[in-house]
Amino acid sequence: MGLFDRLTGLLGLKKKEVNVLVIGLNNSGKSTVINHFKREDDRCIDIVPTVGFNVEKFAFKNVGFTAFDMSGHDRYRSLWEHYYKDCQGIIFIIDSSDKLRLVVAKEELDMLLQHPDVAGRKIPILFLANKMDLPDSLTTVKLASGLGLDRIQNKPWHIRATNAVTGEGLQPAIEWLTDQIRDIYINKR
Amino acid sequence: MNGLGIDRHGVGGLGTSRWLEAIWEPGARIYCLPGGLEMLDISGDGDARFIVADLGTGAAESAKIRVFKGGDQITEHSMIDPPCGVVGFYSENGEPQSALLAVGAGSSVYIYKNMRPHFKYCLPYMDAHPKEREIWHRAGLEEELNVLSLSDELELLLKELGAATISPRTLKFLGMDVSLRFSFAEQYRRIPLSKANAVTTIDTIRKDSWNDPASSCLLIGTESGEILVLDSRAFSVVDKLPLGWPPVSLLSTGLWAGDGHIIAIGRDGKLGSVRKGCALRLWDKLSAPAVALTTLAGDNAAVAAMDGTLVGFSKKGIKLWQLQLPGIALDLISLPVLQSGLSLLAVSVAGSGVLLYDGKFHVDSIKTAEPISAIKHGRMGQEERAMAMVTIGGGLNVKILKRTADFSVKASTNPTMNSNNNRFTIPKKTRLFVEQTIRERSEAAKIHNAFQSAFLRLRLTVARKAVEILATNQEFRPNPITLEASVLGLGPNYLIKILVTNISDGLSDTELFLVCRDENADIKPRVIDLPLLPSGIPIPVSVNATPRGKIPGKVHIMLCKMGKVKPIALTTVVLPVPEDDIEV
Ligand SMILES: Nc1nc2c(ncn2[C@@H]2O[C@H](COP(=O)(O)OP(=O)(O)O)[C@@H](O)[C@H]2O)c(=O)[nH]1
Ligand SMILES: [Mg+2]
Repeated sequence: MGLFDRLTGLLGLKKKEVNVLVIGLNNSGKSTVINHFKREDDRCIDIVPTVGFNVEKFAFKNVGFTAFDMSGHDRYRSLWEHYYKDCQGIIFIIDSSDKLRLVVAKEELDMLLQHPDVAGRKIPILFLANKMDLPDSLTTVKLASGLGLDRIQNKPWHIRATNAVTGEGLQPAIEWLTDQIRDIYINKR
Repeated sequence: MNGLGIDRHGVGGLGTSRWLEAIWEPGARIYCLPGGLEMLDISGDGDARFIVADLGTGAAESAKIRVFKGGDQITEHSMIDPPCGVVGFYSENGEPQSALLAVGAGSSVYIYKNMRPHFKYCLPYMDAHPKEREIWHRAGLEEELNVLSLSDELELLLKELGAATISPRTLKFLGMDVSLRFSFAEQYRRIPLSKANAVTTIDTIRKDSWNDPASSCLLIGTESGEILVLDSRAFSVVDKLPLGWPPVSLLSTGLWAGDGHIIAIGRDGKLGSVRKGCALRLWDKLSAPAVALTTLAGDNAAVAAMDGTLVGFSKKGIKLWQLQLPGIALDLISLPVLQSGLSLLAVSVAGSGVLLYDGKFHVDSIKTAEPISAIKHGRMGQEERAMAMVTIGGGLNVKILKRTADFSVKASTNPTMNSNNNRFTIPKKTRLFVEQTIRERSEAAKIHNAFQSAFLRLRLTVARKAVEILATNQEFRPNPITLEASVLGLGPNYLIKILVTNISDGLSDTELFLVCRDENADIKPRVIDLPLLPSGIPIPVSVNATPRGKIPGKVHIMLCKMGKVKPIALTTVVLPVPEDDIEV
């Protein structure tokens, strides 16, 4: 890496490419969230349940994201782990109105945190408490304790209530993730 | 959310239990028996609700249908009579919005659409006993009513027939104070006597499609000893299957338009199967009254009885196995495990919680603080592996089967296997070892021959079994072609008309042909090659049959595929004995 590259990298000027994994149970709003970050002109109008996974690219604050929109249907959840190794950040989306499946989300999170490709790495995790507009949605405090987020010690994490349909809360949330990724991966080089 | 079940490792890290504890509402106050729980996406929006037929407190009109979203009740609907069963079904193929809920209660079946009353089907009245009808009829004709003689006659009849066969009018009359009887009889004696029928159980059978969701016919078990088959659109009776005894639980396999049949158990433990156009085939009589009936892997059936026996039956009605549970059985359901294709049985046992069996092998136990009076497995909300359990005390517990749950551990964790292996390590230079070595040296040829012959025998057995399986193996896929045959004509020359219908959504297999066989009749043509069958269009085929003698013949019509030994489908028609030719 030349001196100039290093400088621009340090200053965060040069566009960097990172991989971000977007996971969560089916119907939590993953595809809706990703759709929100895509450029206006190639947004999907209606979102159909994802089979397997979709790869989406979008840019935010000079960081190019390749997002893997993993299907949350339980048949496909076993695919998630194959993408842990090559990702620099994880967005974990929870439907905060789905109280019944909070235990299922916790189980998936526990399996993620104990996976060899994740356990020892300092990889930022952004939790989106989505569907905050629904009347019976849980607060971020309740979700954080229900998921046991206080146990996560070696990774930066952040939880934020969002409404993926209107986009409310998404901007600051993705800003946090971008800053974390920049700190850990981009500025280190 | 505190756990009812004891999840020993649930606190930190991944537990070893196969279940996640989702809901525990000890104060849900649900009073429910087997058959009283359902899970249904009532509005077709993909969010399935949990529906409870609550028997209430026993007070009048305290029974109700309660609808839950997760652990929260969202609506309730009062019932006049306590419900005997609740079942969800669809009126149209492939349309989740056509979901309907049927509740059997009293002498009616109430049908709800999106939880709004949609239709009420009332069972027709039963005829009262002829003797009882006669007595009331005479009382109606009398100019001046003689209450005393009416009372005496009815009293005698009650002793003779027993209360079960007597109509409610007579029971009420005899239960009244003598002074009130006159006005009661005066009021009713000129009205024809009738006796209300009652719904005993309710279930469904798929109409003509294996897709999901698929439209189903309603099956209604009645106190008069019949199963009524109701169409899912017009709610009219399309068939009546007589049993001769009131069924308490039903189980259907196959398609009503095809070879579907219904397994029924009676209050006294009678167990049998019926199908369209055929009489009841009694399988067995259980040693105790049955608790619940459910599907066992394949099209087989499992029954739990009140004395704690769990019995597996083949779809032909042959007892496959029987085991003794550690206590009284309270409910039994089948539990399909999607990830491994297994179909387990979950049985609630008083004092032992819920036990899971793979066939007759015990694979898991769920400990509960209170006995479970009713279980249901299916889709709740967005979760497809939810198991809802209602406790005797009225609590609601929902567990979710983990995605990673593995039930295939029964061989490796079996402790007796390991100890068996150890027993055969013979220490060196014992007397046994020395004797054995000497024998091996002197009798080498004999030992070799004995081994070879045993080995050959083993290979022969394996080969035989393989042939047997190849010859009898049935397609896993349900047969998508139906045969309907009818006999036309007066004889002795009959015309057999066969309707071949492909009820799957695609084209049929190629190289299909029909074979007609009868020992006592000449059939022309005996073999008919079939064309490619388009979906849903009945193809008519006619053959001529002439019985050779005066014996009524049974013609077997088999649908076969080139190169397959076993027929795909089979139906039989009976050729009546031909009338003697009348000489003119
Ligand atoms: N009310 C509400 N609905 C949402 C929100 N986010 C997503 N949805 C809806 O939830 C459903 C599932 O969203 P989808 O993005 O397909 O979920 P995925 O399976 O995780 O990809 C869709 O009908 C969305 O419109 C939200 O914040 N509020
Ligand atoms: Mg999606």
